[in-house]
Amino acid sequence: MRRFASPWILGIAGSVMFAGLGLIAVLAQVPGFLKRQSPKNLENAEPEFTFVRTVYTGRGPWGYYKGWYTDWPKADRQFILGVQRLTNIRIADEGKTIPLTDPEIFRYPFIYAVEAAHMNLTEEEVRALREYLQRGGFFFCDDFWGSAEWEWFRETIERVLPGTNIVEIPTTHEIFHCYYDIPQILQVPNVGNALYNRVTYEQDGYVPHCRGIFNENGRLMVIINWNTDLGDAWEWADLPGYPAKYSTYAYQMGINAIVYAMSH
Amino acid sequence: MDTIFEFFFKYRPLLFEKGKLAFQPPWPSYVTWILAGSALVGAYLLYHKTKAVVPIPWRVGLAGLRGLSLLVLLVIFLQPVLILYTVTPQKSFVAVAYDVTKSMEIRDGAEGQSRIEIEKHLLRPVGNPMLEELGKKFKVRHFRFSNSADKSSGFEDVARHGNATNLERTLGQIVAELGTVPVSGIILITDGADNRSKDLSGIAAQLRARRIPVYPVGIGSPDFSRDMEIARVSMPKKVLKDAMIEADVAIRATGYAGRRAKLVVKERDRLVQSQEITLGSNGEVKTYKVNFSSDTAGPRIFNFRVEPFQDEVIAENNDQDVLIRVEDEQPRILYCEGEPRWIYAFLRRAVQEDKNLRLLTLLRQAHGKFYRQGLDENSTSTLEKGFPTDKGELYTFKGLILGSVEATFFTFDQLRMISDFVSQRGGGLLMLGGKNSFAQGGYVNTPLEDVLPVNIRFGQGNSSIPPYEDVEYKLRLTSYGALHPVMRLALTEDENRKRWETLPPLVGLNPTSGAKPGATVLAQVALSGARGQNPVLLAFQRFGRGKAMALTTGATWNWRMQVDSRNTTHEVFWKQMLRWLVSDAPDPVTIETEKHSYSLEEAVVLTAEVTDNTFVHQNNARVKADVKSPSGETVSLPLNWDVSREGYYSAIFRPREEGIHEVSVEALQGAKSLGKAKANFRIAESTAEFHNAALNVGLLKRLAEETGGHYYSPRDVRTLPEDISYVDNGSSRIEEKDLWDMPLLYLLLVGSISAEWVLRKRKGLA
Repeated sequence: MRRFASPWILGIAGSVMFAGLGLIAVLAQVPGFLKRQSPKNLENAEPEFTFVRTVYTGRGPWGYYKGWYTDWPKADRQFILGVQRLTNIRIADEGKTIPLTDPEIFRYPFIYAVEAAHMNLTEEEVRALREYLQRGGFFFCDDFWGSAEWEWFRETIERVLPGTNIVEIPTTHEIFHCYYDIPQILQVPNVGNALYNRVTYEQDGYVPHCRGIFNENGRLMVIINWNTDLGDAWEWADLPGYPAKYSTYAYQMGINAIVYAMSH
Repeated sequence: MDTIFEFFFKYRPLLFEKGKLAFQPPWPSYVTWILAGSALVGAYLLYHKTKAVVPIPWRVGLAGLRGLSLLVLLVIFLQPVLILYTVTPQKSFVAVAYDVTKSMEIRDGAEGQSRIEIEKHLLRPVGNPMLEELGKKFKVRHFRFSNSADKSSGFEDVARHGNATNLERTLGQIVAELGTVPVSGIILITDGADNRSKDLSGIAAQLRARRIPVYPVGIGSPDFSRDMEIARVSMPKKVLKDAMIEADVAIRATGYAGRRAKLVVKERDRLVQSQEITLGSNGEVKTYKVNFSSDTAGPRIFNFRVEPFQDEVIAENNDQDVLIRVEDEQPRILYCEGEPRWIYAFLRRAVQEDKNLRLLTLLRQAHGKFYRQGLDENSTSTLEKGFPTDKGELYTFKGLILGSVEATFFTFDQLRMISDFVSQRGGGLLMLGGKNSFAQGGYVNTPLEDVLPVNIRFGQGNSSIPPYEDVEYKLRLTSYGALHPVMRLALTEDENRKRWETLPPLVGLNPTSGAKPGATVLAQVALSGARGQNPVLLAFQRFGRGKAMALTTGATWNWRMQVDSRNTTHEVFWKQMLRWLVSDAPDPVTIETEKHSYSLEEAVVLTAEVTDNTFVHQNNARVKADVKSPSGETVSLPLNWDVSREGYYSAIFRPREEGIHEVSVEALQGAKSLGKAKANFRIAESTAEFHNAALNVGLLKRLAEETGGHYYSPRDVRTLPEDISYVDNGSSRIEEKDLWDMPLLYLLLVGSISAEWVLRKRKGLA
């Protein structure tokens, strides 16, 4: 039997591939590294709204495979298509990924952050996010689970907004009614759990929460979707078998958040 | 000049003006003609038949001189006389009226004496040849006057000089007081600084008809060598609390061309605003813009003062008080947006903390689906069906903002109603830029095309309309915009321009064909290398009773997101913009006084304008005003319909005390109230007498001319008694004054004979 390659060659090739993947994982933590890969939006150069996924410094690649890029870019593209189809918001065909420290971010008063508990913000990022919120930006946080991740997130957001008060948003609040009427907060599981009818929670995040931070004028400026994964529902909404109730809720919450940000 | 005339003609020109020339020949008139003909023919024949060699021109000249001598002699023999009507002594009256207003306190006499001191000297009771002469010829009656005339026994100064000069009323009262007795004239001793008369020519015509000439004696200097004066302060009578108040201060300066002065605005003793100004050239009135705000509701008095220089003639005209009513109201503004846009959110946020603006918003989310915000808690049905379809609902708003919403969103009736909202209701319309605004939103050939302050027509057809441009540009203030209350970010113009220049660029613009004639451009697009005029960014125009604004971008939210979070430019800009937009929008019922300040002697005319909720004037309302004086006394007055004007009602209030008065008015139609309104006016000692206080020679000369009198300066009054006596009235008689001994005739006679003799001598004829 003919051998295609020696074990040495296979071993070296495997090692190179592994190192390459590791390098990519490390570089992905560098804000702005993947930004250039965003396709340019040529048809609608300056639409009114652009879906911006913020690029933040994560907790590092070792032991963590999650970061700002989770579900990207398919979740964003799927969500944008939904916004285009379901609303009269002139949304850019393609989203953007912008680091928190890039002044470009101030052109976009709505930013999305996935795996919000994996933010390991530098001081510069903390200052930039604080300024962004104080100028009037809206911060949409998604997809982190359990009490441990909550603690990490809370500590991070308190660095951004010292002394802030995080509150449960009641379902009577405008964000649940400004476009769609959303009667209850749903736990949207990750795709695996959703497809195979396993449990909907992760870690010890059994109950979904929608919490928020309001400014002194009562404007909701940070929405925190905890123990739920809206991004996965956007990403896999086109997958046969993915439960429609989860993607419906995820789209409704996403759209309501945009409408709220653009009207309050 | 008069003296030279008198030297040649024996009498002053005034007598020739008043009298008639006549001859009293001792023979019949045909003899005169024969003598005249003989003189001319004789002179001609004398030189025609001479045998000496004399050239013809010389003969003609010598004959002419001889003829002239004979004619002058003939005139002397004809006994020329001046026939004058002159009063019979003590048979007629003369009124001496002297001014006791505040302007007479001004010290602009040649030796530094005040006008009233000059007046006092003119009318001194002892050693006064003029008064003595007057007393011989006439029965003299004295009157002192300011806003009206009072009888007096001679010159009597008063403790408190009058706040106003009303020559029309003064002359009318003197004539009425003297009744039907023969009046030979009125001597009017004044500076002519009349600030109350409405129809001086009318009373002049009456006096002329009654043959009562006016002889003004002008006191004071016709122009001040060194003076600054606040000629006028123009500002709205009502403003919203915290709104930027724009005042135009007109300052007349003489003798200080190019000098810097300090213009100060104070409220009581609190400094509100202070700015350096450069004074205009001699006598020029320059207008300076002053911006400030008031954070306290109610009637407020602002004192505008230009700090006086030491060598000024009058310091009293350097300041002016202005009363303004600061309203703590919430004018409603409707903002209709066709799609979710960032400007919608950021505009709402900018004004949401402003308690004096109520912004109701209507955001279209889908066809027939609207998201309504800013509603009253107890009125959730407001705008339930979208944009108002009847005037009653739309006209409850004072301002209307149209966002990126295409013209076809509205019915034609709605578009016409929006046009009427501006022109008839007097509301403020603002169209924001966007993909569906202006020409790009299909507003060409709609009723709103006329309303907008920018041209949105681009040739024929829709194909020539340029699309909404995603260009990046910076804003540039126009010279008018740099001083406008909407664009005020800093107190001084330079600082204001700097603040705007530091703002980040905007993205997105609706191209227009420029501002309309009559529109005012506040800001332009600062495009480098742009050909022709820079595109309009912000402009406004008056349209009917209201105003329309155009902001050709929807990207002002960048002034919030792209500047430091402590920078409040965006909020300030929008608050000022919306407050100004609705600043003139009236309520269905309004009450006004002609001025903000009156003196105690003046009557206050209260005028109410009454309309229904669609702003149609109502003539069948019952309108009642309650005037509350500072002491708390309330006087109720019914206002009567002014038949000459639809919907206007008026009443006269006569003040009894000084201070700020408040007038509240309510209009009722049956049991239904059409509305209520409030206004303030102030009763105070006026400084109007010190404004425009220079001796008004032109006015006094015109008054003299129109009544058949003559103007005098204090130096010339010596002849006044005699001049007045030549008047044709019921007590006059005819007086003939000989003219045969007029020096001019003898000079002519001697001159012509001497000249002839000299010429004859040269030609050997003598």
